Amino acid sequence: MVHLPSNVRPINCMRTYSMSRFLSIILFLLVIQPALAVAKPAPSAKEAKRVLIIYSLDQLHPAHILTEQAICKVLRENRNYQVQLYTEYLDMGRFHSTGQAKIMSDFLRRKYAELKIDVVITVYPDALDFLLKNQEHLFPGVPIVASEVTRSYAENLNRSPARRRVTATILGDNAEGVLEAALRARPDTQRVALVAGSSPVDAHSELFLRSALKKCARRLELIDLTKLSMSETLARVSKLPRNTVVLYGSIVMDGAGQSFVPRDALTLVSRTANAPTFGTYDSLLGYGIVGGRLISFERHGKVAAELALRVMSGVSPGDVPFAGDDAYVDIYDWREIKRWQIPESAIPAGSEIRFRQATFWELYRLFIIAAIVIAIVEASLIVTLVINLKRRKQAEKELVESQLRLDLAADSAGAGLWSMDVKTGRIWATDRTLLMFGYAPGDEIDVKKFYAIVHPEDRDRITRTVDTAVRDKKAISDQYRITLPDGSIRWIAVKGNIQVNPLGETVSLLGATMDITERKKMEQDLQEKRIELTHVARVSTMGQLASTLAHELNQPLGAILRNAEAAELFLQDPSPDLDELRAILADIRKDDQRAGVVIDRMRAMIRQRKAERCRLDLNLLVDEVVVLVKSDADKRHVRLAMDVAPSLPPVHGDGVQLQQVLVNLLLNAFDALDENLVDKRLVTVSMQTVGATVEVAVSDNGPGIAKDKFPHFFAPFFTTKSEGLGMGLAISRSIIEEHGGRLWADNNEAGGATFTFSLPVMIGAAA
Amino acid sequence: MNEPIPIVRIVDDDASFLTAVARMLRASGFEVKTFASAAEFLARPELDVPGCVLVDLQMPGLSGMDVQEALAKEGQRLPVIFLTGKGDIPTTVQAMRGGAEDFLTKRAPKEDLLNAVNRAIERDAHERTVHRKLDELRCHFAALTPREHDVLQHIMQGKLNKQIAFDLGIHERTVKLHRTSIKTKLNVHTTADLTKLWMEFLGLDK
Repeated sequence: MVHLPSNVRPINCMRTYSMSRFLSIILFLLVIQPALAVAKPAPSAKEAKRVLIIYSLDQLHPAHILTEQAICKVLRENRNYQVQLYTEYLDMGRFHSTGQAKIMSDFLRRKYAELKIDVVITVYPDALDFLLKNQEHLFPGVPIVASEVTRSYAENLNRSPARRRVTATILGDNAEGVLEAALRARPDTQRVALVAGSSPVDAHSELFLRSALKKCARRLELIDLTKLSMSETLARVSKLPRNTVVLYGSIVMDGAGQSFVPRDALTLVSRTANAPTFGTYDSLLGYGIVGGRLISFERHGKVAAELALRVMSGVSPGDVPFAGDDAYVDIYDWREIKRWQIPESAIPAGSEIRFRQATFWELYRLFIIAAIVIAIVEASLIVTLVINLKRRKQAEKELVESQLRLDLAADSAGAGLWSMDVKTGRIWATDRTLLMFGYAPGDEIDVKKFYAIVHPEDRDRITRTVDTAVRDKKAISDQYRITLPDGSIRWIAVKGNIQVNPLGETVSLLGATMDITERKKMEQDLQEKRIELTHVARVSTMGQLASTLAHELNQPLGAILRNAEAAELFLQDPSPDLDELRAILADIRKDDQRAGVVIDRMRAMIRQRKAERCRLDLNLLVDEVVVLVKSDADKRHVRLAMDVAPSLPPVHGDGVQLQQVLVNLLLNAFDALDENLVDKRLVTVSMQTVGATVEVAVSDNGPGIAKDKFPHFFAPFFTTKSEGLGMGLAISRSIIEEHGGRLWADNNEAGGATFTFSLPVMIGAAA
Repeated sequence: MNEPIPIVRIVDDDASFLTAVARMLRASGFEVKTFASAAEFLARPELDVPGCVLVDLQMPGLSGMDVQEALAKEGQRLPVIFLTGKGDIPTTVQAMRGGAEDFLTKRAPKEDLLNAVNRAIERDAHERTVHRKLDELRCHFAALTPREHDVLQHIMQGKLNKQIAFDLGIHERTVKLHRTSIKTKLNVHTTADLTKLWMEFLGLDK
């Protein structure tokens, strides 16, 4: 998982240049590196500050990308501080349970335990919420700049004691700028078609646009295209009456329940529409909106970074007023302007116009082609020479620069550089590398010495990796363990590349290594905790269910039995006491009802957790489960193999429940292998499409299912295990059947058993 | 001697089950007394009356185990039969170790329940007889004088009157007199009977 900084790459391009020259430059740079290091502190008398940015959603969220670029730019270019940036993505759109928040907060607390953070910037209210909820453990007292919170959130914040350590930028709530832009572009507009989806986010955007439209209600007629299915939306926007403009809010989910990336949905709508489309955010520009006065995530990032700088200068966040009221930009998409033939006069002066390049090329294409042709015809030789010369100079310059950057980057990332001579096996390494491997700076090492410290379990693999790389001229990327002289074991990540001489022979292997022990440990801890949780949840639900059922039902059933027996005894009397018998029957009736109530209550309890159905990719689901049971498999020496069809259609279902089924089947399979020899334990998970269903099969090579046990296998409380409750398969089957699928078992021809479940393909998924 | 009638005490918090099982046992000819909680039973266990206890293992507050422990602490050996809705193995083991007479699920066959109750009552009756007999023996032996005790010890070691006289430094005729007195007080005629009684007193007769 180690990524060298991207500026390592230029070296690979230089492969064709003289190898000796290349190496000499490296050596030269290594010699002067200490000098550079000494010289460095002089210009950076700036005070160092650490800033942590916590994003609510994921790395690819368009608005986050814009915000991040702006924050980085401002913080990097400021004159007063040397800012070190750290970024974290909470990804709360997809991981929003409290358990996940707990894991995240533990992770962050441990990750940043040794680091003093000066300012935290949060983006979107969720991240701020998360931080304030965990403020006792996470960065207590560190000032917070909250970027892009809503106005109502900010007002709440103003009344809260947390305001003393938080300042914020308020996300604009003025959509009229866009409406004005639309009316300027199309002065004779009479109708506005409002497009929005059905998710909460969509509803929020819809409300926002409606409030702006209300002010022009007399002038404009509203065509309501909200909460429709995508196909209907597209059909409607393609046939809008004259003098209409489209206002796009957001479509995360359409009226038919299908999910979309909002900007992709926008592109669909805009491409199909017979009228220009307008939207409110700068993150939508370039995907089909014309433009206008847009709420700018980029500006928010800039403003937030400026607030952060003020806070760094010692101003208390509580004294920094909320900002962001001016975070709008006048911005237009040139392609849309051309498409709808919007006159230049409709675009306010000073507006930024993007995507103009295409026109430049269109205008000057002939000239450029002609120039190139003439140049080729008239001076091909000279040009070639000049280009060669230039290239070479450029290459040399880039090489020097990239090497410089590489050294700095490697050092600051804690990576050690090395190079291995393929013929002699000698290894040259930086001091950092040597220290990492337990040697003293200046020690001479070679391949043999290196292999000796690699952990015995990894040694063969690493040897093979290196040999293959040298033979097939391939890059290396691997992780392995080493044993230090004091007996401790460290995890090392390595990335390397082959260096080839002009004859095409491999001469050396050049690479970087990094100590990732701490991260490995943290990953492992997290993993273990997660597995523990799953186990506890699985065992306790089933155990509770079984024992509660037994106990609660045995009371009334026992009473009924004893009463019936008593009645029988009474009836043996020649003149039985009829009153007593009536009382007994009444009691039996009462207890029967009591048992009925228990059953109803159990059923209600099981139904309580409402299934959350959504579109599921089974490949992803299986991957997640395999990660969950991996350590169990390792511990029990079970080899897990996957046999996956490349393109499985999605299914509709409850991810948690289906995962529970899979975990159950896998653990059952592991149990079935206990009798097998340690090196003969194999569990295969395979998936395939069969007609309109997807089948997932879990096979083991254990003893298989005894014939006489087949009929009972899925009955509740049937178990072949000494510690089993016999509920797993019964529950699994009812889950699958509730999903409209089937769960069944077969014995394999070659031995072992296969448990298969089928699920119907999600309707409309193929389209 | 006229024995009081044994009583089956039933302790269960589930009123319905309590009534039903009491009804069935009464119809089967037992004398029954019901208690809605362990505390209610322990407040008036009437341990002088023979019989047994039928107690629900899972009750709010004091459980069936608590009842057993409380009785054991008092030195009382009233047999305890446990009833349970679940019947899980760890609890059974613990209960049996604690000296439970029997362990039944609430829906055990009638015959099992009746057998268990009969067995418990029999055991109780037997224990009470044994206890009473031991008490009597203790009374008899307590009537011996210290010198008679010394002589008895020597007799039990199989010594002859002559040896006993020598050991204790008394006349052989005095030993004979002691011997007769001991036999009279313990109401036995031969030395063999005396040995048997002595074994019984020490609890070595089984």
